[in-house]
Amino acid sequence: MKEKAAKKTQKLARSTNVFPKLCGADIELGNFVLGVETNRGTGFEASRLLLREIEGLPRANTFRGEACNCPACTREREALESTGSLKNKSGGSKGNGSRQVTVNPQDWGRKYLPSNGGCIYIDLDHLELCIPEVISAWDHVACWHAMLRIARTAMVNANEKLPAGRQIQVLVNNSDGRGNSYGSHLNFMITRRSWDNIFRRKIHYMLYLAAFQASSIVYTGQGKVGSENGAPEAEFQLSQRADFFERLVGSQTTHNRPIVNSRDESLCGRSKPENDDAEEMARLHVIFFDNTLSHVASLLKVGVMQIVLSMIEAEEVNINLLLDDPVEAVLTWSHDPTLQARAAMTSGEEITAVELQFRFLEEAKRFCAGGGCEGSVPRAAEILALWEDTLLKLQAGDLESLATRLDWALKYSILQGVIEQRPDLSWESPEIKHLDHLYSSLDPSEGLYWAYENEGIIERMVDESAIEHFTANPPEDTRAWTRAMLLRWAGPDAVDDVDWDSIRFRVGSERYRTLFQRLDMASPLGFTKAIAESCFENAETLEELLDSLGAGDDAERALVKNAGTGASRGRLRLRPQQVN
Amino acid sequence: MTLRERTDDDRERQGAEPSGDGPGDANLARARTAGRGLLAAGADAIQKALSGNSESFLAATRQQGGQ
Repeated sequence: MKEKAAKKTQKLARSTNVFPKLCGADIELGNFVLGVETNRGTGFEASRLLLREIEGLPRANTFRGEACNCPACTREREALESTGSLKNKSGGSKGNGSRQVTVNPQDWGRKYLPSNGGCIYIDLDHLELCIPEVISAWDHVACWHAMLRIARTAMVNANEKLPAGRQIQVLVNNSDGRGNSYGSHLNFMITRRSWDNIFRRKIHYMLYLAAFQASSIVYTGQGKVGSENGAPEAEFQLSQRADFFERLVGSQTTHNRPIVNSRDESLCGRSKPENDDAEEMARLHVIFFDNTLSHVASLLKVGVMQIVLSMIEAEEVNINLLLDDPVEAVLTWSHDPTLQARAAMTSGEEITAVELQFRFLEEAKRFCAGGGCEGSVPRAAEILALWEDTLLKLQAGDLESLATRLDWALKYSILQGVIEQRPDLSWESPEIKHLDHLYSSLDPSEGLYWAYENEGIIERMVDESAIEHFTANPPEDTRAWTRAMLLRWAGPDAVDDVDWDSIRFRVGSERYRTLFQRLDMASPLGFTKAIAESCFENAETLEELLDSLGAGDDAERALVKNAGTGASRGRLRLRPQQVN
Repeated sequence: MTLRERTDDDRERQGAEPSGDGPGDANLARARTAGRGLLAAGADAIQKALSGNSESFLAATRQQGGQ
């Protein structure tokens, strides 16, 4: 009894510092050009034609336009010429610059968006959308759909410039049906202690996370026709990604993909540097999930994960929920859209994915009832209620209701209906795989999802105005707000480099040298509108603004590093640009 | 007969679907029923896809593996 009380006290002490489970996302899209025949595919061309339609400020050392003669940019120009998109441009299509750039095929041409603070780049020939940091799962859904609209506008604009007979197609899925997968990653801010528990100290925490994620495909899967990557044959399965998970844990993302990703790249510093006992923060890189379009699926994907991570952070982990072989379980459950397949737990019990999700739900309800999600998960009670109601519908096999909430259920129902209507078609027919792909087409005239959304069949979690808002505005409660406002204020002439946690500015020049100043924004929870707005209102120059935002010490170090000491600061006097 | 017309016809026949033996079969039957009800809403998009060249589309989808 005494031991139990001591243990509880210890747990409470550990969980004194509660932080919101802030979430970001980096999401790759399928992209190709219809009307161009090539054996290697046209992702290279499509992704670049899309990216050039996006307005944003580039990172340093990335592609900056056509005036670059590095091998990669030259290759890009030549490839784009083959689509006809660069012909007849003034000045010709060959660049005349000499700037050498570092080419990283997994991070090409990254542009940060002054509109909402997110960014877009090319990762291995996929346009990749990075959502600005949010705290609420509802904001995630709105920002996600806002980023899709930005990508759609780029697609429309790019297509207008293509010759007749050619069309860029963008698919919001995770597999080309030919054994190639691309990711839909979520990033959650957790404490360093929690990260260490999962990956370095308490292996059962990692297994708990794996069991939760594996069974969550019943509501996070987009659904897919067929199987890939050497997986057993399947007519239809719940998850786009299940066939590609071959390991339990690992830091890799492009091969032997792990259910739980251990990449340790925080992109955030200490959340409360002013406190001696501040927690160091970390980023949990979650590569497991599918791209989802349905609002409920997207909301549960983030919201339930936030709750589960809060439980892990509070060290409320029930070791009775672990799976014997999570990798096998994912495949088994994904390949059975009737939801009856069972997988073994470490206890030897055989369980369905829905049954296991109910057990996680019960744990979460107890945890939230005790105040566990206060301060860490906005609107946790609503998430729990939606989660439970969705699981009940899954348990009842109520596909008709689920089709309004879950992508796989909608896709499965549509395709079942088509096959029944057309006896000449089967799950193996190219027409059915074509429909599978077109479900997620970004083109509103072709994408099946959008047809159902327009008909009012999709259960919405956010309204149109919220989505529209985030196409032009950043979230106000994270550092994304200051990032967007600084990019607008300074503009491309003064912004030298941008990353999630810092921005470097060109603030002047001395003789032949440029002077730089850098603002570190380590804490994703800092630099919110409430904190920083007055700085923007009161500053008249960029220098004043950076000083008021606290760029002082770091800026000085950047100056020393980049421009030497004793320099007279011939700084530019910059006026605000486009500040709302 | 168009896809939309067939869907409307089939809607009237809902309930006559045999439910199968086990829970898996019952779910499958429910999916078919749900599918019939949903086809009308997406008829135009579905028809457009089915009238296109699926082989050609699938040939174009090839992607480089990503993350």
